[in-house]
Amino acid sequence: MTRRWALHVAACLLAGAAVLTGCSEKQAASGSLPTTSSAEPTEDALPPLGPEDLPMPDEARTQDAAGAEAFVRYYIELINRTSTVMDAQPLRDFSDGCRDCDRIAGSIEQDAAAGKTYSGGEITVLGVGEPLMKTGTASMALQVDQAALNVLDASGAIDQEDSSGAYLGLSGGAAVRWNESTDSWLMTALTLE
Amino acid sequence: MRRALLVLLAVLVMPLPTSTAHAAGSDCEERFCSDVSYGEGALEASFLGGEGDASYADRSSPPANPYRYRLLVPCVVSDAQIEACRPSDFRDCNAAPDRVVNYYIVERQRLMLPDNTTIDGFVPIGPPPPPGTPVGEWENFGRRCVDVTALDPPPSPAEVFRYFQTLPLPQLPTQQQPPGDGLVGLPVIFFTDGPTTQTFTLDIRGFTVDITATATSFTWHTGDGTDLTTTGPGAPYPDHTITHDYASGSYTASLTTTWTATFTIDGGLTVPVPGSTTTDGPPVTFDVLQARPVLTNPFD
Repeated sequence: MTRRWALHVAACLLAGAAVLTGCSEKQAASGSLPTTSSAEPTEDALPPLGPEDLPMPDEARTQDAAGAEAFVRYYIELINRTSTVMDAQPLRDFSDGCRDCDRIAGSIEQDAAAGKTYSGGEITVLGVGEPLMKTGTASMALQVDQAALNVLDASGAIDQEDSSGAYLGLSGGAAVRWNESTDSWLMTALTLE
Repeated sequence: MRRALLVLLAVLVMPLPTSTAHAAGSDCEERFCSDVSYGEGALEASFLGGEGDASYADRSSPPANPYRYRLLVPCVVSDAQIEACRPSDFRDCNAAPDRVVNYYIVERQRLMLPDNTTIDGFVPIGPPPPPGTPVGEWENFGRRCVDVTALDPPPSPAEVFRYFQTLPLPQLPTQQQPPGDGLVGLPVIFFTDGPTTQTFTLDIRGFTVDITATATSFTWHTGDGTDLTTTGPGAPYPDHTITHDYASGSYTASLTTTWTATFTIDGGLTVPVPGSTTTDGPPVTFDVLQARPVLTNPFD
């Protein structure tokens, strides 16, 4: 299953019953022509994306500079979410070859498999530069603070080796690519050093 | 994770340059940090010329270079992401004997230009930093073979392995007991008394590389079609551990020794050489005789 297809399936599963009907594999053929009103474009809500407890906001799903910036901020929140939920899947779902995103996801998965949890480590966005828009892509400067992260082992004790101190004023940038099939951005690069 | 990577690399015998770019501790793998790790074997370059697999990296750069580069070992990147290497992480690169060419993931990052702009109009946060300051994200610049000779990277394990294969390792002799002819029904004892460790000091492109070779496997060709493989060199009677029963006849036995090794560069960390090599010792020929009881008169 490709990531894009997986996202589509996930979007379908998370959508309401009306959307689910549209995602089913088989549909009975309609015996009548659609009425004029049903043929008109509707203002249906976008199929939800992201985890139920932190769905992607609509403002992050517009193909413009504001949408790109909102998506990057949302992705940072998905990283922060792992301080309470050891769930790396959204980070993978919204990564398109983003090496550091996948690295972080891999670490979370390894730690989760070892029964570890996180405490702290929240990333606070200090500033986002004006996104540089190109065809289907955007990149923007980014500056953040990162709180100290404690990695707790299965007994709740702090794993000193994996824990890290606070980092203030980390800077770098993020690059995103527009995904037509899900009407959302995907992270292609995320650098904070 | 790192252990898995080393084992995998040892099995695959694929190039993995040793680290020259900073390799940070593991204290920020879960998030970000300023003490960033590019992963084992990564290199930094200020200039990347050529195209595709004819690319070459350098640390000197033309004025107002718009990017800086880093070269990451694909298998190391995959290991950090999925705890395994991908088949696509490996590619053989053509290289002249005096060149170092490896397969890398290439990333580049914009640098501020003297006119306070960037190559593509990327805008940093706040006032423009000084020219040459890196800004923005590291963007993927594709995978390719890159000639990194100018970066003077330390010898990679694969490069050390190539040297290891050419070392004059001992050709361990086969010793057998009883000496001379054997006897049917009396197992022949095999052992070797040659050195099973050997140390070599090499100069590879100006780096001092100490290789310690160890005999780790011994295959005894008994001469009757049987091969006995042991992890030790055996010992003479009465501490013998390797024996073989023969039918009567004439046999030529020999020993193939498998050598593995570790190495250090300029006295640094000890690293396994990713691969093994073998030596064949001189053969020995002996007869195995059939003893036949004969009644004799002791008073004769």
